[in-house]
Amino acid sequence: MERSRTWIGSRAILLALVLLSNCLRHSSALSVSVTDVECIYEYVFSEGDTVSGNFVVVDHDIFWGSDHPGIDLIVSSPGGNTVLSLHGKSGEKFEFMAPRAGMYKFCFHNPHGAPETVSFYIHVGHIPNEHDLAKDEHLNPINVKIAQLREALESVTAEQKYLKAREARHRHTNESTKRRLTFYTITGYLALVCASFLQVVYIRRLFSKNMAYNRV
Amino acid sequence: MNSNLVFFFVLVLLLKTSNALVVDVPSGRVKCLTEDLRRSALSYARYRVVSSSSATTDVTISTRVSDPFGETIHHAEEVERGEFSFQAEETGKHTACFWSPRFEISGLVSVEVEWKTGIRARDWKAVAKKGDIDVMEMELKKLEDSVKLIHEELIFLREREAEAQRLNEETISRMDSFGLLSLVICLGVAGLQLWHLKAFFEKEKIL
Repeated sequence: MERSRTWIGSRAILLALVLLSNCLRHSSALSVSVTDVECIYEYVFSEGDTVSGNFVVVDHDIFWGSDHPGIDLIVSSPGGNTVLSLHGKSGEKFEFMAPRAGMYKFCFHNPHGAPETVSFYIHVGHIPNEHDLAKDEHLNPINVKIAQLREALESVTAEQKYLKAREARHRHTNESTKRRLTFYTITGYLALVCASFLQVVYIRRLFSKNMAYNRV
Repeated sequence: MNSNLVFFFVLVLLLKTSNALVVDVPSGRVKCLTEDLRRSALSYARYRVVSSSSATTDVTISTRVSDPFGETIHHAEEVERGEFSFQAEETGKHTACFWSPRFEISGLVSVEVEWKTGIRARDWKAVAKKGDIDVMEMELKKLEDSVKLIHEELIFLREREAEAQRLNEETISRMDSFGLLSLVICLGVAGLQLWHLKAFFEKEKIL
């Protein structure tokens, strides 16, 4: 691990470690299948860190009607309080400042019975502030600037991941549309041919000489 | 409540130096994490059992990582920790599935998963080891890699968008031909009906 305590090296390496521990934060973009409730835990190292992320529900083959309830996201702090809650969304970006350090719980709730695939991205960003600068004499303001630059790049990455997930869902919808179009049209043709065939058969029966001649 | 406290305490201790997400794997169920990778993207992941609700100390997890076509990239049975790294050979969804090898009623195993793709898959420890590299330089190198990765992803997105546009155009042209086809079928079927009934009535000497 990057911050293993048994690392022995030169002072630069030690500095790198200190810096890394301050500046490097975690981000992950993964998909998970949500049947009922799906919870992901993420650790926030220091109070005041900005937790940002997004999630997109990638549609299955089930056609989402306008009355589909959507997916709920509830974010709980280590103390159990709800920090953020989003209801009935099919995709959303979120950002909040962590009120305290600890393990945060991100729960996706699916009120519908059918499992949905949710693609999410969570990033915990930390910028060293004056407190950190005061604590560590090796940090100087340029590190703050580098951390800000890093966070700006991370926000670009976050947008990209959101776009990628949305594009995947769009592609899903397109392919499903094409499939449904073909299926419904061919079925319509078959139904038309069947109906006209049955019409002819019925008319023939009406006029057939087996029946009473003047029934028509 | 007490077990929750213990759980969080253990997690805090164990995870204080790592930055990953934790998933709960209930006994008897499979939890899968999927990552959409494009071809030749680097991936490096680590997983570790952090705690569980069972009383036994040696809790293990089994895992299988598969590529979009179902081929297994990595497979491990009953391990406490593990790691895998690969370069994606095909564009698509790569899945890592975890399940508990032993079944217990309402047992829960928590697995800490760290899955890095792209630049983060690079081993920064090795880069730092190579001589007395300046800290600032390494940070800036990381930023440069980050920008390169953003650029690559954008190119990938652009390709995907072009494909989506092609698909849309194909669908629309299909709709056009279906329109014409339904007209042809409708008229054809009506004509066949009329022709057949005319022949029938003439045969039956009604007309």
